[in-house]
Amino acid sequence: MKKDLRFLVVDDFSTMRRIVKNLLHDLGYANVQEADDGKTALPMLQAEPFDILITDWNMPGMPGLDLLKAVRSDPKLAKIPVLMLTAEAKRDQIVEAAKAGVNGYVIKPFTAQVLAEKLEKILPLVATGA
Amino acid sequence: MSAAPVSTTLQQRWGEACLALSLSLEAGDEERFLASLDALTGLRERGLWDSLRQLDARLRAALDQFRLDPRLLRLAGKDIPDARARLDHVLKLTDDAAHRTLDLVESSTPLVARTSAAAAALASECRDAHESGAASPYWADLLVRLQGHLIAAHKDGEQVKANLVEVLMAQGYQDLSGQIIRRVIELVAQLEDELARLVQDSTGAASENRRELPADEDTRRGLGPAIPGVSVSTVDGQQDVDELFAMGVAMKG
Repeated sequence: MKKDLRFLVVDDFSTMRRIVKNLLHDLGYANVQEADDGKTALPMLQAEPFDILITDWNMPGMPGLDLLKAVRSDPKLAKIPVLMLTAEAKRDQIVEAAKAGVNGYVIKPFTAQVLAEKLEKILPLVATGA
Repeated sequence: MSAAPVSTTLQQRWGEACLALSLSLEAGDEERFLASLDALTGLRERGLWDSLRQLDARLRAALDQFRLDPRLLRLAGKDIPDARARLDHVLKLTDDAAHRTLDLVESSTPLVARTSAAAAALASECRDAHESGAASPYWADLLVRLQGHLIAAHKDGEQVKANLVEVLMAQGYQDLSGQIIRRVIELVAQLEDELARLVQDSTGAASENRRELPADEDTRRGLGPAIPGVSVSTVDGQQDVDELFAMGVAMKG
């Protein structure tokens, strides 16, 4: 059941996407797709169902916060759990992301353990029927 | 139209000295020849001094502008020190990541080597025992050692697995340093623009002068047109602006 979850990992750095993908694989999640910014991620989200969105903030094109807001304002996507994985470290930013509806916020550099913990926390939010 | 005045200037400036030189050469008058040559080089040096003075003035104007331009001040006073700090941090990130990775490789290698060597030794012992038809106490002992090896191999394997996850995580430096470097690249591009503008402002004024000076070449001050960037004083600059402005109005009809 758990292993069937579909992940979308959004980061402009391919090294970071590989790291996250590998960590998810280690945790038993094999279904991971990638996008390099919000602009490419949004159509993917709209085209096929994803269970969890993991996104960076600072990206060219469409940054992660915009992607988050776009997801939250799209009735079809609004409920998808979103985990922010970013180096943005200002207090205001974190508050803002939280206000915009992010479900978890992992600051880079991070450990495999922290990512696993945050994921564990948002797993119950994964919609079973919607 | 423009060739005639230029040649006139040339003749006015150098004609007399050249004529004296060539006449004394033809006459074989060494004393006069050397005197004429001195006069000629004197003239040439004066030209060089003029151009040096002009260069100096342009440099001063550029430096004044550099000191007064708020964008350049911000770049020089804040952004560049910031960029240095950013690059220092990148250096630290890459250094840490490389050392972390090397540490992990160094601590993993003996584990893998030990497991591999022990497995090979036990495998050959098993083969020998099988071939020689060893007695059961021997088998019992081998079994104990085999079990010990498997436990150690499992432990080492787990450790190496954990090390590999850490090696994976250490590569995160590329993302972080990449973001920082991207900022610095933006700053360098800004700086490039500002410096290009500065250069254009100082040499641009000079090129306007060149355009203006043919009209003024009858004046004594107009002797400089052959040397690029005769004058960049405010007045000259304003004249250039006025000229360009007038030209633009005229072209509009």
